[in-house]
Amino acid sequence: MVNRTSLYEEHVSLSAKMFEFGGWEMPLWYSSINEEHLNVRNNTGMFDVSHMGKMLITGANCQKIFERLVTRKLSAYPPGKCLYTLMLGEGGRVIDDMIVTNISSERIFVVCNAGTRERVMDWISHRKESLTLQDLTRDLACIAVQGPRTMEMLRDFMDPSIFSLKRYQAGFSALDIDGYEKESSDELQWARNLHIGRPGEGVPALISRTGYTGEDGFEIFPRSRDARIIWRKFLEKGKAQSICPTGLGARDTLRLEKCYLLSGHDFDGTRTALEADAEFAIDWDHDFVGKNALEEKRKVPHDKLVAFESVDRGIPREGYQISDASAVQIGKVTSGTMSPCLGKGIGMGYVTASYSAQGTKIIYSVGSRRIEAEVVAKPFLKKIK
Amino acid sequence: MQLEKSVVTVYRLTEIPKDLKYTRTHEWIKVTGSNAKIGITDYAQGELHEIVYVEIPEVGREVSKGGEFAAVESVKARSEIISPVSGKVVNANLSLVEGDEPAKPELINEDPYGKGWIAEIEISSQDELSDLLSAEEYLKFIESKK
Repeated sequence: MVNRTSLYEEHVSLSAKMFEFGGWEMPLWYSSINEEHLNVRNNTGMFDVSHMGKMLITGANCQKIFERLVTRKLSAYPPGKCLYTLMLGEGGRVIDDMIVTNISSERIFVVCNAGTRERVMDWISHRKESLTLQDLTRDLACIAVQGPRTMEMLRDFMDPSIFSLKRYQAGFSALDIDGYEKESSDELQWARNLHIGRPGEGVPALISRTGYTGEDGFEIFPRSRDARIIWRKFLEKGKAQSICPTGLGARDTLRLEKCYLLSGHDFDGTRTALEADAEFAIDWDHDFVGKNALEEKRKVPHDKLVAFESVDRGIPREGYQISDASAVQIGKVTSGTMSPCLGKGIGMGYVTASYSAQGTKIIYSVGSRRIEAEVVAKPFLKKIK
Repeated sequence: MQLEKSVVTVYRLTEIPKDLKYTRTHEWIKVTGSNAKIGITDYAQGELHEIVYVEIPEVGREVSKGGEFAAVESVKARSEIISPVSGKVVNANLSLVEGDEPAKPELINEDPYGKGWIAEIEISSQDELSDLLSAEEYLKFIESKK
């Protein structure tokens, strides 16, 4: 059974090309992956990412208990902080990546990947019985608005104080949406202590300055039943900033230019956090599942997820073999595309340690063709404009 | 080429040129004497969406019916193009690839039966044309996939 988000009808009426992703029927593109991609880099784009797994975890000492299951030391950060973190198995292998938002010392909000949601929920509930886990995936939507003109676009809808949120910081607020009729019941009650700005009559939402594109923007979590009115008003008023509905096709190319990991592709439960080159998401000064294994594995050379650019003309794709100049296999491609911003074939893949240095020449095979590529610094696209 | 399942587009017969022959792998072929031009159908380009890269065959290369001899890549995926006939490549559409001019792979999206042709082949056996599909048969074939 394929799931649909509360914005499904909107996508259909916009003639989106739909496809299945992580058990959900989602828009792949509306007009063109390339155009949507460039529009996010230059203006602003809006994504329905309501398929993401969303959970509220509650209990006394919630952060202290939950941080044993993830690589960030949650209790060291204040309420409102959003942390990109990894959940590891005992061997230090990445089960999933997620954004954990500290709500209070008794409450955290977790956003994980759609395809791994059940695995993540099982993993948590089997290990931390003192915590209460509530699956909000269907109760809440997630609308991501991303790009350099996003703040300008949202000015009409948001209290000015929202714009003072820093990157990886969240607040609770009400969006000013014409024609919205306030309802009394409130599934977002748990987030109200993060309230910022005026107590509005508008559409309640948890708003975080996060994203998966490398551009500035917000991820907005309203109740599912309020998602349509927000979506429509943003599209209507955002015309001045050239807002475009943007599909998951462009989301994938946008994240790859920034070397953000894609669950199920760049990691799939078989690669350690060290191999995935994700040490930046680890706070070593706390205990967590997988830590001992990583400390052991750190002492010996290991495969590494590298970024590479095609030197010859060609586009790397997931699953292609990577070899050295003498055709010895040294790895495999996990993500690849034609970069809309750089105009060349870019990819990521795991290679043995001795081939992971910047400037190393590697070869990927497309059928019988062998295409030369070079390991480059991450990310492919360096700066937020 | 292989296409993933998913069809919303409604095709009308008038949109499929009657003077061409087709394959179940969505190539078209236009025979003129002993030569044939080959490309991919409008339906195929629509399913692949934005084509960003094309691999054309070298002139002089021998190809066999059912064999892969070129490829098109969209943002999302690569698709091999399968030759509808055996023969020798006598011409390839250089405007699709980078040369003196920048590559224009989008010609396949814009004009799949015209400027988006891929290669021309000197046919080695006219007999091989007999099992190709007519426009009507190709339309039925794509409708049966919905």
